[in-house]
Amino acid sequence: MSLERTRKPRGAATDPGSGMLEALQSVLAASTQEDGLDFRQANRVLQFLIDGIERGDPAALGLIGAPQRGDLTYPRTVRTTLVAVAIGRRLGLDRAALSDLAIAALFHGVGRDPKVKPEYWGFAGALRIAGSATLSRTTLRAIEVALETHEDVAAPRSVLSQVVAIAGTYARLVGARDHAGKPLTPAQALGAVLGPLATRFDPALRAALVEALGIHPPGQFVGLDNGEIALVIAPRGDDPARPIVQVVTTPGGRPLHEAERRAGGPLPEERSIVRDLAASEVPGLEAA
Amino acid sequence: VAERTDDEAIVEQARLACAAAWLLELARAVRVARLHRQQSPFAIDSRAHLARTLAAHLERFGEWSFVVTASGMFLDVDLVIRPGKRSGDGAVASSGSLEQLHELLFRDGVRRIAFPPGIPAGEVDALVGALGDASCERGHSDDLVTALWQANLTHLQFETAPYEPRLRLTTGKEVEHDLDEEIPGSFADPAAAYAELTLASAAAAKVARRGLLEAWERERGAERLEAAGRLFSRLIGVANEPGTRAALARYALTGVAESIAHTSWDEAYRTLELLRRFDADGALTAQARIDAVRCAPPEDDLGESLDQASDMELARCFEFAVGLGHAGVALLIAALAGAKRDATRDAACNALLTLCAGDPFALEAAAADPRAQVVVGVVSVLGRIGASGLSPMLARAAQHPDPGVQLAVVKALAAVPAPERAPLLAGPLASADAALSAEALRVASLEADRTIGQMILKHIEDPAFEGRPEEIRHAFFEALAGSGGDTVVPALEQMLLAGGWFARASWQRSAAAAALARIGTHAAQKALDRGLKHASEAVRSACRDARERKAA
Repeated sequence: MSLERTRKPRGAATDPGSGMLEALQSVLAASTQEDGLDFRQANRVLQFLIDGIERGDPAALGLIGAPQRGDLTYPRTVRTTLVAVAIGRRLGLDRAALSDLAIAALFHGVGRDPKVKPEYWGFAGALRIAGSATLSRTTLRAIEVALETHEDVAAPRSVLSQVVAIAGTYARLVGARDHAGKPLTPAQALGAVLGPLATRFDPALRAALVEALGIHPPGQFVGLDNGEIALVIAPRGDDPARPIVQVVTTPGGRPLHEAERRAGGPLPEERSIVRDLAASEVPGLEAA
Repeated sequence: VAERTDDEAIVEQARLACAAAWLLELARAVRVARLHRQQSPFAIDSRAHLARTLAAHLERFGEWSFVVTASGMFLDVDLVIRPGKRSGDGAVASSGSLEQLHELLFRDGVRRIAFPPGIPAGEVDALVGALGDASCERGHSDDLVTALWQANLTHLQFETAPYEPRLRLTTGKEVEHDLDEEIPGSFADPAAAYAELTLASAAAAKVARRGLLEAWERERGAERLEAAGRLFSRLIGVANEPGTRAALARYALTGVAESIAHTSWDEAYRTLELLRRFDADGALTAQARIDAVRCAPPEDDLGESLDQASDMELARCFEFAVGLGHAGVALLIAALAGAKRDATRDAACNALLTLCAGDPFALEAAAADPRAQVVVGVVSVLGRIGASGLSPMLARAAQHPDPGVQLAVVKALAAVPAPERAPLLAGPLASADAALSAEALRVASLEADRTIGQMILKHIEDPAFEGRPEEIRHAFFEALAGSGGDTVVPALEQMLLAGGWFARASWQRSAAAAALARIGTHAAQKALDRGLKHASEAVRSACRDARERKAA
């Protein structure tokens, strides 16, 4: 697999696609081994992601809602990274800051180790980064975020740690099972962050999270006013309530065949979202 | 048509020549950026000239698009830089800085770099800075592409090689579920919550965002090493254990290495201070410090940088080197090797003296260095340290063919005990080099030593001695007086009295008398007394003159 980048004027199309997701997971996979964390490699991969998010590219933003297989740390960490960068972008951080934020988010959980008491995960992660990085602004921030990630939620945190914390909380909640064993939808995860868990996070960050994800976050199924069901592909920066969607059923609820499917696009002006749906409410996906 | 084609060819040739020349200037500017402070007048001038030249070329020729391949750099399809030696194709042979420039671009994955007309000077600055940073071999977390990308360039365009992530398999079992919190039983409506956060109180939302961004600006503006110090304290606060200190010391040392690579001596010094919090005696990072010094620029570059540094920077550099401990010796030796200014070398020697006063044998390898300027510096340091046991190192240094080294060795011999000094004086005493033998005689006469006295006497008694310059011959007698003591009195008296009744005035008789007067011991005085009563007027006269000169 390879990713090729060409510097083009701003706004030029790019398709980071799933290759980027794999590349990010490759970096994380390496991070579980003894040979240390590869900051250079991570930096290079994350540039594609940040470029895409800076442009508001649905292909990049849509990765936030990419299906998560299993309950693994990697996809969750990658999702945390994506959400954190999207929040940073909404806050107006520049490229260097977004780059540091992305690195910090990607490696914030490297201290998680079943052999280590959870209260030392932050410390272990910080030392892990220190042990495989050179002293620089970027790595210092990554160490700080790793350390603060597992500190008491009431403890003062750096701004990047706060961004990673809210992004990480959202990413952990998406797909987590509730008391009844049902997976939380992206909208429910967002609702949890904005509701019961809201006091943990700065109001400006909560607002930025919604602006980054939209009111109907990527990966969320929504019912439209004409009876169709659509999958939210990516948010639209100018209107958090009207995302880019892909219709997946007919108005009568019949799943669209391959040949009937249309490419995703902005929610048409004449359409509106009626409600968020769980996967179990989507015909053809009930098993999920 | 033919005329127009010729004109085009001329313009094309000029374009290629200008592009190659500009790349050379870029390579030099990168070197300056690496070796000098970003804001030094030299560096600023270098970058400004580079940007002006580029602007003029682009205005004349239009956009330049360089293609970077393993076999060289091309302006569109024309080769302008070929790695290695000049060939007959008209391309500029890349050597030194140019070769580094090509390697750097290719190594970090840049495959095309385009300069459109109207490119701001700030983007040329950014390019030079990024290349300068990336040219340090140290494993910087940001490579060239990342640095250029972060610079947010609007004109300069570059393409990079296809990215090939290393795919790996995980071996360990990761933590599968780390939700350390209860899943909430209720959820807010995102639309309502967002409206409350923004629309219901737009002013409060703005204040909250401004507060967050101000906090970020404060964090971002924090001095890097101060921030590192605070962070390290927090980590030590969690677990003040040897493992923590070792990890942080190693991490801090990477900063030291990077500062060395960039010849940023103040930062290197301050980072070393940070490191000392965890590794006061250097035990945790002994080898790593040696490795860090290997990140220094090539000796010539290091020397140039130090030669052009301010007194304060120079002092900081050598203060840092001393602080490094044993590892600092290599840095100081490199400075000695590369520097051209006496002031720089003197400062390096002073630092070596401070560093090695308690362990002069740390200079053992350097004493055998093939570079004369290094050995001269090291020998002078050994001479200032002055202790028993240094003569083997001086002997090694004395094997250097450079006369300057040999002179420095003889000077340094003044600081070692006379018995160790004697064997090393033999060669210089026999040398035809007047300066060397004169210095050897000066050192020989510093204190009485039977061996040295006999050595000098042997030279004086050699038939070839007569052929040496007069001032040298006198110097030998003076040195004999200084080193021989009573052991050479019989031989001097014999020279004084040589010829018996028929003795005539000679320089050797006078010199022997003067030497006896200078020795001044009871035995020497007795010998002069006997001379004064000698039947030969020449002998008596020599003794009288010697006594009078001594009295004067």
